[in-house]
Amino acid sequence: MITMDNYEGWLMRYADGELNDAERAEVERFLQGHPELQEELEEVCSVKVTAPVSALPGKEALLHKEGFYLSPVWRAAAAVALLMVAGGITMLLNNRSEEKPLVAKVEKPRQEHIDTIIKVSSLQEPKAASSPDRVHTPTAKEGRPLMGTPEVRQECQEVAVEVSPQCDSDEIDEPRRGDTATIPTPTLPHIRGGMLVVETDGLVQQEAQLADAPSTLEKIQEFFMRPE
Amino acid sequence: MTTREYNDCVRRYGDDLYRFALRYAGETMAAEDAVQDTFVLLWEQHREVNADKVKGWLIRILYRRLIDEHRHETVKMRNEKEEMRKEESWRQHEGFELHDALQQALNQLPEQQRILLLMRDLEGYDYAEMASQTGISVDQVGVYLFRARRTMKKLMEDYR
Repeated sequence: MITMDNYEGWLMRYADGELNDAERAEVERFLQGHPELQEELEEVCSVKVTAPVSALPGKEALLHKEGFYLSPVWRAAAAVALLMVAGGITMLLNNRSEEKPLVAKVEKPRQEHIDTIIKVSSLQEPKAASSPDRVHTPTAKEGRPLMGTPEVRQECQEVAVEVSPQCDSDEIDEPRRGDTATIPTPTLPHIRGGMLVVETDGLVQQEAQLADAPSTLEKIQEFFMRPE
Repeated sequence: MTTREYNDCVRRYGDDLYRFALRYAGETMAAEDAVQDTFVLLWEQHREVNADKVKGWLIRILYRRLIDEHRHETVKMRNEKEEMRKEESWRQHEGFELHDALQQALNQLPEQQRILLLMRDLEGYDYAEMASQTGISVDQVGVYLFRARRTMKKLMEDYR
């Protein structure tokens, strides 16, 4: 019930539209009995507080760098997803490591295909005193037997023939510096690409540069063609 | 709320809060400090604050900050220099004479009436929101507002 002791709140709520229909009707009946309060209400409602248009100084300093934020639930989901991706990558890498590497391999010449390797340098004609121990080609002038005789053959075998290293197994190794490649050859020793080539049961080993290959080659071919 | 929501909040409500604080405190320095402190507190707690209710949160914090500052200011004696600084700060705004009369009247109001009047006129709060923010009943909000406006009317007429 509205009285002279509590009318302030009722009138203010009435003016601000905070009452329902019944309460509004009650206020209007009260004001009809107190016209002086109607005038006071109009004066009170004329007061309106405003504020100057002002911008907050230093507003930009209050801003913070925007980062990527995930709620705890999404953070947990992201962690699980990350672990799954990491596990998948690990499994993939393990599977790939079990496969044969995509690197070319050269089969090492096997022992049964290699009989001899002719050291061409040892068959060169002697030149001054450069390598007197190894370069030793017999000549008639020196009173030594000519190429093709049993003595020369024996000397050539002793001086100029080396046997390739033994290959104990059939395993395939990575190619290394110094390994030799196999290519088909004709029957007799010959020169190819400046190298002296000697057939060894269908396979060939080629070695050092031949300085004066034609003359030496002729002697070697004669040696190989003569019957025992 | 996220950092982006916090920044949006600063851009969206910063000026309104400053105008609110400016009217309540009557000087730029105190208003600026109160709003800055309010946003600093919001940043410290922004993870826990609901973005949908941040406006009410800001007004409540600012209101308490202004009340505390006002009580602190009334305890200590303001010297003449401070009064001159306050008056000068208002002269920086256009139409300062009108605002000065309004401000002088506002400064005479009890703090609760002043806050309610600013909430209603500057922020457009309804009675339920004001009651929630200030912790008083809806009926009491009406009483305080009626008395605040009646006092303001009388003080402004005396000033003129």
